[in-house]
Amino acid sequence: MTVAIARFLGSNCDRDCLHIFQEILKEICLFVWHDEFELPADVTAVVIPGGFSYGDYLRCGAIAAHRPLMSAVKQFVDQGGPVMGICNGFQILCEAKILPGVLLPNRHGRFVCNLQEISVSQGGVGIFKNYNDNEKIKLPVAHHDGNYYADTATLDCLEKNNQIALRYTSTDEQGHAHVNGSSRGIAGIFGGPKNNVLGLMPHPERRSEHRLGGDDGLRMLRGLVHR
Amino acid sequence: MSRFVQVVVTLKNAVLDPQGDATVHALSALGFDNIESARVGKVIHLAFKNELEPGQLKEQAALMAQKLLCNSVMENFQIQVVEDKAGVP
Repeated sequence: MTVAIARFLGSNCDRDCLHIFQEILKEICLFVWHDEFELPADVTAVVIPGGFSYGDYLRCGAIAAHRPLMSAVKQFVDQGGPVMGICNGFQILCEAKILPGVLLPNRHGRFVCNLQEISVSQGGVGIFKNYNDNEKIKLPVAHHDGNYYADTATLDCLEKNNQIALRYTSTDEQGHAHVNGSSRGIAGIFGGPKNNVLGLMPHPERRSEHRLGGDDGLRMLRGLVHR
Repeated sequence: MSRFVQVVVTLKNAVLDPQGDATVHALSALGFDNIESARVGKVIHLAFKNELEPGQLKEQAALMAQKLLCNSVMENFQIQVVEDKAGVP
């Protein structure tokens, strides 16, 4: 298995991801630069890491979404290739229209950086094959724009097609996540022709080693490469 | 003929605007307590390299807005042809 980690100007979780895939999961892992028009032929999974690509100018992920590499990622997605966008990677996937919706600024207007309890919807299949359905896990979040928003029709469609992948367990009476205001508590969604794309605001790569507090995130990184 | 266009990007009504809400609170703290709401958008002044007919300017700016400057999931845009790059109509 060869994991490609996309690198844009301002990506900053790229090396963390490399560390987990290479040192913990013992996979072949390489960086791919944003101005590449094609992914290397042997790539079997793509990770778009967190960071502040292009300084979050215009809108988070908007400029990265139009880099040549994202056309290659789109092709890879259409062929059913597994792709995970973490934090800024999720924002980029939404801006590239590979995933529906958008990540708005957090409802309370503050940057959040803490550990969140998250429920794994669709556990037991695909990228989440290593989790039980509705298993509660803990993952760290660190973002200013993590408030998932889409119109009601799109949200209903996501529910109906089992595309809501992860939910924050702490929500208000309208279902908005306390941590950022996300609609229906959404922390991550699936997309692509075979639900082969996962976009999520929490950072699984930051909770993939016991010495760093736990490995709740490791199982989804493993699931991405061995579905 | 002109070469200046102003693209105004605003949040859709259904989208909450925490920046706008914070602005209302700050205005209120300054004594401006007659403000019901504030919505923060952005203005992008485009200076084309060559002069064009207003229709052409609008058409090209609309394409730019659809592709990059505005995200239609959460934002609307308006385009105005202006006289100079400071945005004087």
